[in-house]
Amino acid sequence: MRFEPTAVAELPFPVVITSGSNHVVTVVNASARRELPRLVAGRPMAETLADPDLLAALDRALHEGVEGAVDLVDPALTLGCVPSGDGVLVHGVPVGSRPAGARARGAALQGLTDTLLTEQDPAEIGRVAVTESMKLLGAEAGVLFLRTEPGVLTSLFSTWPADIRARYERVELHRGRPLSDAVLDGTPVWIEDAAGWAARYPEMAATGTAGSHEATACLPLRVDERDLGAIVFSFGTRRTFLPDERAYLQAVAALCAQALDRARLLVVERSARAVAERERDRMEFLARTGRLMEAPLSVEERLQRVADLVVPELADWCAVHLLRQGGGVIEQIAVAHDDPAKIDFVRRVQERYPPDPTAPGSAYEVTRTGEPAFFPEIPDELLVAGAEDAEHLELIRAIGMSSALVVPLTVRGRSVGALTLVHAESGQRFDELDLAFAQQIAATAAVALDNAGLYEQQRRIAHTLQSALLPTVLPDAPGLRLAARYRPQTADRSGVQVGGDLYDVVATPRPGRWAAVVADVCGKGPDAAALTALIRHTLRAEVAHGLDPVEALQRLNAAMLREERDPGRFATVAHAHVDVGDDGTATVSLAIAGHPPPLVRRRRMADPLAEARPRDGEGGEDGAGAEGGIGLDAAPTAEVEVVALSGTLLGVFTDVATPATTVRLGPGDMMVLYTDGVTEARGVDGFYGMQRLIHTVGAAGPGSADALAEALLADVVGFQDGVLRDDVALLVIEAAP
Amino acid sequence: MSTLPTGDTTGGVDGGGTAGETVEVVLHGELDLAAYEHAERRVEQAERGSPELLVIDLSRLTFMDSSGVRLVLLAHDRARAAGRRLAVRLGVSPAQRVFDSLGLIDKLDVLPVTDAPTEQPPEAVDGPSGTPT
Repeated sequence: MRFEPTAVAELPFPVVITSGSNHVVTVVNASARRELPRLVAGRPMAETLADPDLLAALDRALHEGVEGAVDLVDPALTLGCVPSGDGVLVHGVPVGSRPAGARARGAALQGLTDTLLTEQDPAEIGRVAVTESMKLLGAEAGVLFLRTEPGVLTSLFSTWPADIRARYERVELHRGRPLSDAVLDGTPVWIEDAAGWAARYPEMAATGTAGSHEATACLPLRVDERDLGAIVFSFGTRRTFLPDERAYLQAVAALCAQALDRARLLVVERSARAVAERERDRMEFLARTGRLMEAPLSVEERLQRVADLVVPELADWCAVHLLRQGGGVIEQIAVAHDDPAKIDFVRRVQERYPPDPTAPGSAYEVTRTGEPAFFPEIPDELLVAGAEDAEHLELIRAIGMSSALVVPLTVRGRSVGALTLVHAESGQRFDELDLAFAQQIAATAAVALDNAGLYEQQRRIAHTLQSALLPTVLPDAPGLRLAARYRPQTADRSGVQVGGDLYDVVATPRPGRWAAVVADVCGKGPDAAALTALIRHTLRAEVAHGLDPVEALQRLNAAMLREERDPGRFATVAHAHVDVGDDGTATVSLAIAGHPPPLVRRRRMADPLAEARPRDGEGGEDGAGAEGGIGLDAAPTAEVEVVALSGTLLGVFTDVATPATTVRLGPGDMMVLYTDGVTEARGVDGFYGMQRLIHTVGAAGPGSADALAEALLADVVGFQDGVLRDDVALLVIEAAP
Repeated sequence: MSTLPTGDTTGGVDGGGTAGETVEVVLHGELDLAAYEHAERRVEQAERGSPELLVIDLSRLTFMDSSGVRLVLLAHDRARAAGRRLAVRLGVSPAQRVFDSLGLIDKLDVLPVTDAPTEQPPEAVDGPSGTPT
């Protein structure tokens, strides 16, 4: 079957797809369910709609590959039957439409669907949708616009001559114009002749009918409630749009919108993957640089190793300069390039034309000022300006630098040298991210010059990397209050390492729906961090695809297995969709993969007489003594529920359980997602454990997500006397009261 | 008292020799990141004889975090690649709780604890020093 059920679901006319020689009904779209209520999916057509003409037409279509049309009496509907794969596509058209045209459109629609379902290039989608429809309708011209920014359409494909196309390359939406109205209202605008222009758009009639144009059809492109753009067809003569033609064009618009949306999501997923890979590579790079600093080598050797690491991964050239002789002289300590002949060449150039220490952006100048220099592009004028004579110019032109950046090496606030990165024969350009990353490398490399700062630097790198894995701020989600806390494991003698706890909240394609995740990757270090980045970016991409939490976790597991980077490296994940209700409630669809069970704190207070007193007597049972401290003195006053799901950890097995459930949050109710750094925390009184967690979450006082997150973190940290054995991540989702 | 156990008390091998085609590695005390390398060496040592069945007994650990899971999953991976069988003993222990919460009980070959009576209530965490048996 070549049709995807989802592709026909929203078409504005009946579509039924049958399979096999019994004509078993496999797909019935919404329109067909309304128009042909007798149809039953999964049953042969003869059992539900036993029209002999229809069955004969189905046989002809299936066995002879011949298209046909059948008029039904009840309901009054003409059904076109088109061969499709191992079955037949049956589409309804109003009785009295032009049968030949209807058949042609049915066939065209099928071809179009096949193309649009597989095509991934937006321009090609636009071209096929516009040109095929023009042929069928006899339109003179067609344009597909994409909504590229709020209130603005940009032409993606146009059949107009270049001069007209240029004029409508970018169109700002203004109410009271046919195209704008179609986009803003989400309904097509049909204008059949000059009188139609005069009646609906009198001010635009002159423009609309200029150059002997008369009829036009403007169709919005929408998926769910999202605005993607519009298709516009223009006709050289007056033209009546028959009901089936309107239905056909709307179908094309619907298919086209879905295809464009899919193409866009594919781009999003690819770029998410690329970002994750870039992040992972950079973490590994920094980690390698960091390890180098601990190697038993001289300062010069270490810096040469750093330069060797940089080339060719990050740059074609790398050089390191240091202040020497009490700060009076700057010396090139290390240089790296893949081709030793080139290093020789540059050395000879520098011997003949010693670098000018006062030239702006030189390693000397950067070391002196402590300010980085950034040349995203190196135009020839810059070389001309820097050359001493014609021969020098020729030599430095021969190096072929295309982009360069120089960052200071800083030790305890004092600039002691510079790290230079140059792109040449690769033709690449550095961007702002490269500049920031070069500064991180320089900061790591500076450790070679200051072993006392080693620990501090490691801590800073770990912090930098970890913050790349966590959102800087949670999104503003109307109807919800969100709060998160993250606290890394306390450093011990092995130093601080970037770790694997993750939380994230992002918007989904559906308005009012938010996606939340809390995950825990086992272990520490660059591999764990890379997996954390992969989880974050993969889930973001799956969420953008509109996948539900169970599907997203299954796809994430497959993605982790594909990576196969590090066997035995696993993660536990809690992933939820949160739908905001319009009455202060929220519905949480939650899926769990081997992750500790979330808790729900109800706003409703437990009966203090019934609950509080007996609880006092049970204080010792959770393994924490009565004197155990914070939180236990107060009796629990809110009802707390444990969402008992577990599932299988991700990244190890192909077949994993990711059980799901739905939790309703009333106004003021809160869901608490956390990592096992909470429950597995150990203090002098043993494990923190589930009982104490329930107790703290239910304790009186914290009346908001933020207050609860703060109180819970304080209790967990206090329980361990401030020494955390594992990372702690918390995410609290509250239905805003 | 703020010093936490370092877990370097992971004990010696009981039955570490070959018993027919079965080798059993019994781990004691606490298995966390600090004790991981030691435990891994013990398992790899046991693998050298390519036993038909390698059993890792975690039932007597007084504490185990994700390091222990990683230890078992990696051994599981190597055993599968080499066509050997790997099993674990969990009993009613902190290790059992961790494997259960990660959904691993169905995924692994779990043997009952038979010949090794637990000398203390497994759920009890006996203080910060850990207690090698």
